[in-house]
Amino acid sequence: MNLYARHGDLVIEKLNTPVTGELKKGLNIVFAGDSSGHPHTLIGEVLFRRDGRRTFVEVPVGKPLELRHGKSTGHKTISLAPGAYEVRPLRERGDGSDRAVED
Amino acid sequence: METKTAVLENLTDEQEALLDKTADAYIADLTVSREPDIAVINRWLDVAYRLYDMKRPTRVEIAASPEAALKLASELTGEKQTEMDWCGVGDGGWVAFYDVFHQIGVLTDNESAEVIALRDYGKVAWDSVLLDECAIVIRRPVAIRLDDDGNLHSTTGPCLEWEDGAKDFAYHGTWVPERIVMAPKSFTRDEILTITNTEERRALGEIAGWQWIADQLGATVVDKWYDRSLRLRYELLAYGDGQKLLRKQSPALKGGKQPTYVEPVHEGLKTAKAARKWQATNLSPEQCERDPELKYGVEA
Repeated sequence: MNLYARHGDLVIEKLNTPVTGELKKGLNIVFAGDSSGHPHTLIGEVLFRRDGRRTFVEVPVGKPLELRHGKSTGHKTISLAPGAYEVRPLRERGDGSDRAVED
Repeated sequence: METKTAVLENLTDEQEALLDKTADAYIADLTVSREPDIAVINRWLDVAYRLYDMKRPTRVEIAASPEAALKLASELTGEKQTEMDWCGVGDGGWVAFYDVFHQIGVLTDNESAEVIALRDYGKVAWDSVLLDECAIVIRRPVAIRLDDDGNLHSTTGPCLEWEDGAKDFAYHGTWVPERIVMAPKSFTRDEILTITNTEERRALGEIAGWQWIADQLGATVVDKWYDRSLRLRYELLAYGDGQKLLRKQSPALKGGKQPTYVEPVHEGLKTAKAARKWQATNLSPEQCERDPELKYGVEA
């Protein structure tokens, strides 16, 4: 199995088909912002849809967009090439159900 | 009014050196505690309120801590206030640029007057809550502790101490509850398991020691896996009646460090490699065990 990337507690899976559903336009959208105050921010304008802890994103044709971690000494910046993605947190075992990792 | 724009094509060696010197001075100043200077404060407040076509309110209060400022703001507005206005020492990052432009003559005294007023304000004010009828200015903390990278940090006490006795705790830039720093080994097994923020759990693990955490949970290593491509170590731990934890090494962070995290994973997992895949997918433990291979295009 191959996945596009892992960025700290985020998994980025490239989709083979465009994102479906009602998409919103967003600038510098944040993934899994959490109480530690270290959000992962996708720099640039994208179309996206939230579905619980998952976010579906369309990176427009053009330059790749940078995914940056909010902590100055945190995870290194990675790039997302144009295309469709599902971005979701790593999961961990919770009480009775699985929950997302927060970093 | 005629505007003249000064442009420098190249910086001299002295001007280049001034960039670093100014940055160093701002950074060094961050941990200095100063008494509030009302003249400096009023000079900036005049600018700040003018930006909103308002006059500085006659009432200016000096708050001893962010907590005190928000309490006062809540009392004055009759609504719970939870946000400050991000106006104070935190502006130093961009103010320093304009300070340099002023020092090398790109900006005149007149052009830089407002930003210099903010620079001076940041030297005595941590942050502000600027209300229509009252400006609440938070004085700088009496003590600030940082790690070698400049992050708020202390493993022996608060990273921020305020004049009114309020304290804040952080571990390498992550806010943590006081107890994690001051009494890490007071956590019971059940309490450790209820910490859902993996940064907090990592802080507790590193302050108390991962071995202590594993012992507290009664955890033992049941499987190991070494990712040769990124040189990352993974260990599957078991405790209690078969519950599992994945202890894993982070890829190198921006500063080169590779912290270790411990996260609960499904009790049906038997190998560390499969646990890694389980975390990233919606597959069952059995599916991950049958085929534990997982490659990322990039891991950071």
